[in-house]
Amino acid sequence: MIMSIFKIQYKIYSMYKIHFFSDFAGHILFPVLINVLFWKGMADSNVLDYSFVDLMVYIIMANLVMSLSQVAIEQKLSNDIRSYKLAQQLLIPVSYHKKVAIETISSGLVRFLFVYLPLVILILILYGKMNLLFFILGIISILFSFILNFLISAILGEFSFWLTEVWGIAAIKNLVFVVFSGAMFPLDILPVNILIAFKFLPFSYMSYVPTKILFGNYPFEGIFHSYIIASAWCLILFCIERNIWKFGLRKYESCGA
Amino acid sequence: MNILVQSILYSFKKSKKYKINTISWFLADIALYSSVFLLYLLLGLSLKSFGTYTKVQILFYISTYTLVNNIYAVLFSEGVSSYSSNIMNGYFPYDLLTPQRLLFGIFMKNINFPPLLSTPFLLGINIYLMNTYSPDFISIILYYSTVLIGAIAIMLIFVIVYSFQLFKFRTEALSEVVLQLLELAEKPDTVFPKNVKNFFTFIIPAFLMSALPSRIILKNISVVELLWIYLSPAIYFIIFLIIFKIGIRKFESEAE
Amino acid sequence: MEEKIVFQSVSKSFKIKQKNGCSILKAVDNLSFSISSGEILGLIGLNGSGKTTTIKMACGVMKPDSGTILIENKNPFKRSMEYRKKVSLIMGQKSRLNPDLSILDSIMMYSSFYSIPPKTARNRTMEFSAMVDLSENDLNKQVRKLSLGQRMKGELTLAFIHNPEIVFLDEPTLGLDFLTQRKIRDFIKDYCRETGASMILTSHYINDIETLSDRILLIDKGRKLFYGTTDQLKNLVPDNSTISFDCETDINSHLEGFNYSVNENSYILKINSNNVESTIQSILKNCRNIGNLSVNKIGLEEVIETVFKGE
Repeated sequence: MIMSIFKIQYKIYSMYKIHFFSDFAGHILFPVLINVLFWKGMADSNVLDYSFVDLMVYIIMANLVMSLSQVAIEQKLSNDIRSYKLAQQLLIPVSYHKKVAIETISSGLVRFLFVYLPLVILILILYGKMNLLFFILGIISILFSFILNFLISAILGEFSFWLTEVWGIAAIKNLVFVVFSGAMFPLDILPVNILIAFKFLPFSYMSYVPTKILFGNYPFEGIFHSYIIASAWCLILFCIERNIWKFGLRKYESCGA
Repeated sequence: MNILVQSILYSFKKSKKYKINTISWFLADIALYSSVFLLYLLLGLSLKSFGTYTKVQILFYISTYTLVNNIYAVLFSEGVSSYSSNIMNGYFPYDLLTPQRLLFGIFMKNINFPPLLSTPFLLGINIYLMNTYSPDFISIILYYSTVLIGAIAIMLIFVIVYSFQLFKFRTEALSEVVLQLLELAEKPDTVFPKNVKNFFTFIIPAFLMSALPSRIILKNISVVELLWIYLSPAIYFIIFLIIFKIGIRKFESEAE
Repeated sequence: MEEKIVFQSVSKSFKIKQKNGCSILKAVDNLSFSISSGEILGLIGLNGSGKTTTIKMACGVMKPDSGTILIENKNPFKRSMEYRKKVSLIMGQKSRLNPDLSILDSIMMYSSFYSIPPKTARNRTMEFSAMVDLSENDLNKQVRKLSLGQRMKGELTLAFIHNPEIVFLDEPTLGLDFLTQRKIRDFIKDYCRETGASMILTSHYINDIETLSDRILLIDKGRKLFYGTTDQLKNLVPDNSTISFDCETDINSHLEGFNYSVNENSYILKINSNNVESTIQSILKNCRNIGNLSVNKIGLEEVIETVFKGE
């Protein structure tokens, strides 16, 4: 089953070359380019802990990690919930969440294997920071990031049991992620107490932390801490998600959406 | 005049019927704008300057950008997307036969009320920040007129892009790229190398939305730039007319 | 009478991209007709016969490859403001009413585009809606909650709000029940009679065309098969009337030369409408105990079928 979904996703991806181009240009090439130029200017006129090259490599990597683990299933969930589709899906002998998760993972996996992973490795090698141990620890961190993303996206999508539109909330999510995840700039240029506060929020685990780990710029103790906090967030979000789903489904079954 | 009144009424009624959608707009808007402000507030904690702008000036700069964005969203965003989709889905003959000038008609049919909800906030922040520079009356007039012009120029850029659909080109990729490029406006222009800065001022006029109007108040604008602000809509409009004239001929010969 | 719409040997073809190169589809081929004021022209054709292309060319949004189109002696492709205020286009499948608002809301906005003062617009809406049987409640209801028929009535009210002199109607009754169809037909007919407006109408329902049109244009693959009045069209088929009756005596010998069929005592004769009286007289003379005598003119649908088959 996983293979068949995977195949379809691959086909969709390879068929739309224009889509792929705009995807790549719009979401990676230009944002990175703009950021690079921006930070070049900023590094020239400010005193930072980062050299310009470090900053650049960080931002490229952080954006890769960010888009790699990004999940946007709120619209899909919302559509399913708001139409008769969910009722249909509930009759299929595969749990709805499992199906959505597999679809998301497989579509992400295609992008991961053919676009992002080679880029990540290339950057690490060129930058001279390729270290197998940190690479694996980094990938684990990215996994946490993916789970966090998935859960948050699912929770927002499930608001559709009560709301007719969720795109406003989804937009807020994207913006909060961009600012707080560290995809725009390395969070450690901020004053220390703010950085500490950020570490207790789930957002930094979506880009900043995995990126730093991949570069091997993160102490083992910090990695350990990050895993604990990230899994705690996963657990919290999972409980929230389960409960929203439970209550939502109860409402759905009693009166439809 | 009656058109304007009726169109605003129409859009207001639409937003009332679509309450959740309106709230979504409002939330998304506020989130968008506050996230940009937040970003620069955060950066301002550890950075001294942004290009040639101080950390207070950059906030004013951002508030100009958000204001232009907001005006664009109210007046043009829905119209631009309706222009694009109508060409594709066969509704365009209705637009062509409406007895008003084409773009005027399309934009009047598609005034977007929801973003107007965040306008007071943005205007409030804008006025508050502007007051720090105690601008004279003429500068204020120049400033707000250029804010409006910025929105018009961006509208024209998108209308030009979508006019390529008259030739049966798919423009999703192009418009996506242009959209990304225009978001550069949020960044301080003086941070960028001169060529890049010029490109995004005179070709893809991203900085028309932020830098140029702001620098009127900050008293840091050249005559060329000032001239360009007032000239740009005319130039983009001429480009639009040329593309549209050729495109509509193609459309008329192959509309199906 | 003044000619409002004139088509002079109009042709239009499309390039169709296929796997192996391009092929050329002749959508409209050397079409000529004219419509005078107050006249309704019915366009009949199968799917893909060029009806919509014809309508689009007539209203000035699609240019022909060759030939001339004149609307009130002017080129419609200039789309002058004066022209736009005079015409109205309705594409049955493409609604202009906003589904979230009421019919009246949409009408109020669109009428402002035609410089109609709000008060006049409201009055005219009331007048038209009375004609199509649309209650005030319907006018103020969310369009989404209206039935398809009510929506189409609203669509028509919107399209006629500026009193157009020339109307292009593409499938205005598609998918509607027969009562609504009839209401809409009556409305269109009355409007034309009262205002002297000219119309081109396409419809899948032959009934629409038969009751509404003064003249009919039958096209197939872009070519004209027939152009004229309904009666002229019916006369194209020689045996356009049927006489059926029961007769106890054997009258086969008297029916020689007729197109007829017998089933036990029931006879069905197919003859031209001009010969109905004389034929009946001869039947009555030769037949004892005649019963169930009836005369029917064949429907337009059958005529058209025959014409299409003949091609």
